[in-house]
Amino acid sequence: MKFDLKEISKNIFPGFVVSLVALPLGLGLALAAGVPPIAGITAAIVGGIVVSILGGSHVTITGPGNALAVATFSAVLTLGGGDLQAGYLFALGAIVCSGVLIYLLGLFRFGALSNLFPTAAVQGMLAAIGIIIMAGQLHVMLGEASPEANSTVELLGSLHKTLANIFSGKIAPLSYIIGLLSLMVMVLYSVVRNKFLHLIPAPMWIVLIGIGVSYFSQNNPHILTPLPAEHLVNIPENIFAGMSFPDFGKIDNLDFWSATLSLTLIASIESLLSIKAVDKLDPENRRSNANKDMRALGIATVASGLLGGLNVVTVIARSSVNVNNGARTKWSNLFHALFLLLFILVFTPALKHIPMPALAAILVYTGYKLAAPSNFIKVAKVGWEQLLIFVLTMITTIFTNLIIGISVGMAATLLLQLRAISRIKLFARYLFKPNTILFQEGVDQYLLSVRAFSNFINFLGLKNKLDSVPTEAKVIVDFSLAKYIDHSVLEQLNDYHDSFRVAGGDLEIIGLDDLGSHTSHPLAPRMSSASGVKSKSKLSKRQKAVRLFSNKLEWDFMAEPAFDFREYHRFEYFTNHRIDNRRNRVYGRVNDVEVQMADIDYHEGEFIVRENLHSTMVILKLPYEIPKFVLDKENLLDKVAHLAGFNDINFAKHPDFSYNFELKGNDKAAIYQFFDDALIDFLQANKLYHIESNGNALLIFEKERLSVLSEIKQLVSFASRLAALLSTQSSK
Amino acid sequence: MSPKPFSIIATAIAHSPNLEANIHESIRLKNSLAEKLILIHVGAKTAEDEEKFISIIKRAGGSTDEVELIWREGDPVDVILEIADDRDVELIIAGAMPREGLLRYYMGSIARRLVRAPKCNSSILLMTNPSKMKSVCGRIVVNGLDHPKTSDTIKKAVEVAGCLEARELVVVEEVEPSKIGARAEDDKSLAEVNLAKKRIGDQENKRINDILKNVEVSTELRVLQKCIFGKPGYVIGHYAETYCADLLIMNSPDTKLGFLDRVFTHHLEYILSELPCDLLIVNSKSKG
Repeated sequence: MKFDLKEISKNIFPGFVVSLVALPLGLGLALAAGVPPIAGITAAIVGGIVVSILGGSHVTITGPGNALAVATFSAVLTLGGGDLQAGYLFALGAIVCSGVLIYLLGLFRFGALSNLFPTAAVQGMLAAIGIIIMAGQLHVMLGEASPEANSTVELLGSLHKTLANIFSGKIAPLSYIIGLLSLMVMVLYSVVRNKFLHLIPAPMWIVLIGIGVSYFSQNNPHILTPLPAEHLVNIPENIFAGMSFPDFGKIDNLDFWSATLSLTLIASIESLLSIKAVDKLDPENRRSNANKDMRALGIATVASGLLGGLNVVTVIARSSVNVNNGARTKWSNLFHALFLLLFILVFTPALKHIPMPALAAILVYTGYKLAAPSNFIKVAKVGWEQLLIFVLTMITTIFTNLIIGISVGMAATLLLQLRAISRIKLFARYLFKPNTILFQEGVDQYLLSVRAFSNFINFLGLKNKLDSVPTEAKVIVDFSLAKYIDHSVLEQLNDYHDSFRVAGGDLEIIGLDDLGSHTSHPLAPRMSSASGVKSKSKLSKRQKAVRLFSNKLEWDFMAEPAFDFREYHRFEYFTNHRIDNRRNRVYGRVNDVEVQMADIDYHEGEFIVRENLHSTMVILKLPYEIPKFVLDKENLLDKVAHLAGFNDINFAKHPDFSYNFELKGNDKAAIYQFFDDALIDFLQANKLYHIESNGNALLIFEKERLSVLSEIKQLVSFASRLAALLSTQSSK
Repeated sequence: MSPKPFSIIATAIAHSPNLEANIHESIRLKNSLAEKLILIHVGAKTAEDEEKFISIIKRAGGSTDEVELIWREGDPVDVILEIADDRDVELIIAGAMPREGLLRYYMGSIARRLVRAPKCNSSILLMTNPSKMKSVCGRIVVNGLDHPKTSDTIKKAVEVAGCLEARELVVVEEVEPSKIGARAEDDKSLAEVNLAKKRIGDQENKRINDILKNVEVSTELRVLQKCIFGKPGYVIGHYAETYCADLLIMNSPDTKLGFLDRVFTHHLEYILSELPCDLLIVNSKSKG
């Protein structure tokens, strides 16, 4: 950390605001985890101090996490065998061990671990976590401090009992009133845009109101029946005396290690997903060092566990509060920890008045956000397969545990992909082989070509390549040699697209148009239609962009394939290339010249030696005769062994032009006349294209691959200006 | 026309749908690359076959003093290697499927067994698409590995490119990513990685330029260099595929490629498992 006083002072305020959110969340998450409330605060304090010093990210906030609360609760239950206090101490042992494992993951650079889990499965797991949190906390919110049920299903099933208790008057009315009121504050806070209201974050409002009501009722019991003691947060008078220490008594037990593994996995996934998400929020677009962060989180977790705290993870909600309040450096994370320490030391008596139903309401809201119907709808839009994976993972997680849940999600994803691809051989052949290459195409432009298939299993190779591209450069991801691309890969590429964009670079995907998908969602899995799956081709992102571009020009756009290739086959280039398809046509007119751009699929050779090529080409249809010629740049015509009667043509007046361009034709005199000074100046001033004339039309293209949008714009602009130039030339 | 890079070349022929195309292609290759062609037929000599072969040779425009037919029985690979040794054959041409089935891959086809053979002293050309018609070889990719054999291979590639009238020759320098010495984890290390990449790329280009300085490159041939980081062998194959190369030229393997090399794929085996185009393996031991 840099000791720049101005920077430091700027990060005090965001640290303070975050601590206001972190206090109630820390207490609440600890309650949800079935451990003493102080454990959550310990995790936040230790995490904030250790990670801000050792971590590799900039504006993240660390502390106890939502998903972790669920994993810890199940560890407490299984290890304690019903005894929550014993279970807590054993769970602390598991937390310390998981900290060591997380450190090792960082050390061996497994920071990319979270990319190995299919997106839909991770989302399903998070939804399950939301439901589990809600199932437990709904009871507490409604005033039932210790519901008699252990599993999530039982908890949900016994909800009517709690409701019955409310109506029969067994529960103190103040409990559920505070609970419901708090939930209302959480819900309305985001709707009501009031300056005064938003001075303090919603969770802190709830805490303040809760403390106020609690004090009032205790001092005026004749007006308001005070809350029973079990409904108030239990914080030891002297936090140093009341500290708990881990018990490693079950270290030889299988349950202990399965709990450790589960904590490690969930902590890593939650942290890595958050780090990635926070990087997108960072106003300075810095890239976090995920591995360094993992090492710091591991050390922090060990320290927190030894002091009786929960796992330390990177958390998204608090980090976003941090960024929104102007945090720029790691100092805010440190300040958030120091403020928490201050609260705990100075305001202990007040904190002891926080009503549990109020904290539960915050958690119910958090759980709802994780499992909201909108999450289901979002996944369903990608396709039924993703929804199936999502729901399957969610249900398995609820009925068993997190590890089994995510494993089932992965297995289901793999099976569905094998079914979609319908050729296990493709998987078998390429699964453990490299399938990507990255090379520089020009200054600040890279091409990343992907072969065979790309899914969550082999995404790491693609990710490593992408990570090594400078973010201010432009990278083109070419899938034209691939047959299957799954949702997880497209989703992550979409994230990369955003981060390249904000850093001043760009990422574009080509080669997807050929692959069909089941839904119109831009991130739906793509597969080759030849693989037995009937696919409806929907517009890809690139197609939509091209359509928008052509609309702006007031030209026509047609995505549908057309099978009339006669005008193309009259060009020399196509004498040994066969056209298969013509798509994404853009039509327009410049003066009397018809301009027509299209993606052409064509091939060279047949059967086993067939090479499929794709290119974006423009044809200019001229209303008058011009000489036949070929103006070549990439020597694309060398395969035409018989350029009948075509000679090299050079211009004595323009040696530069003759050096840069290879011009061939048969009618020298006409060509000299056609290539007047204006045309030569124009050609020299622009990018080199392959230009071919067949007597009354021109074929213009750049590369033997599809062009990305920016190249299309250049190409069309070049063609239009050329067309304008030619029509003035002809009118002379 | 530059001097021919090989003196004697040999093709193994057999009765197959590709027979005629194989002979046509071999004779054309002989015309541009070598002085003499030996056609090896593994099997018994029959008058009927001889007549058939000679008629195809005539149709392909070959003369009997430049094209020789040899008949011998035995295991095809042994026979071909034996004759290659006896007659100082510098280039063996064999037809090959672009991709082998999984079983075939582990067993090896004749063409691949030749490449994997330990005592082969000739260069080998694996042809994926012999044709009766003349096709032009426009783009050639050659490996630029940091290896003593590479300079011979590049020289041979330039000669071959000249004789085949190719227009572009790309020297692909494959570099193991471990040589970068850093990993892109955040902005700082990303900058380090790209600096290291640039430095390595410049070094590689200089190394190749030093080799090219001693080679006479015709003005018709455009020589490009590409430094790509990744698994050697895999990278060049994938590049040849994206670049739509017509011929890929590689160093001969240093050791015998055994069964385990196919299980743990590396270097040349990546290309052999799926040929992106015709493959010429240059054996630097052969006289050239």
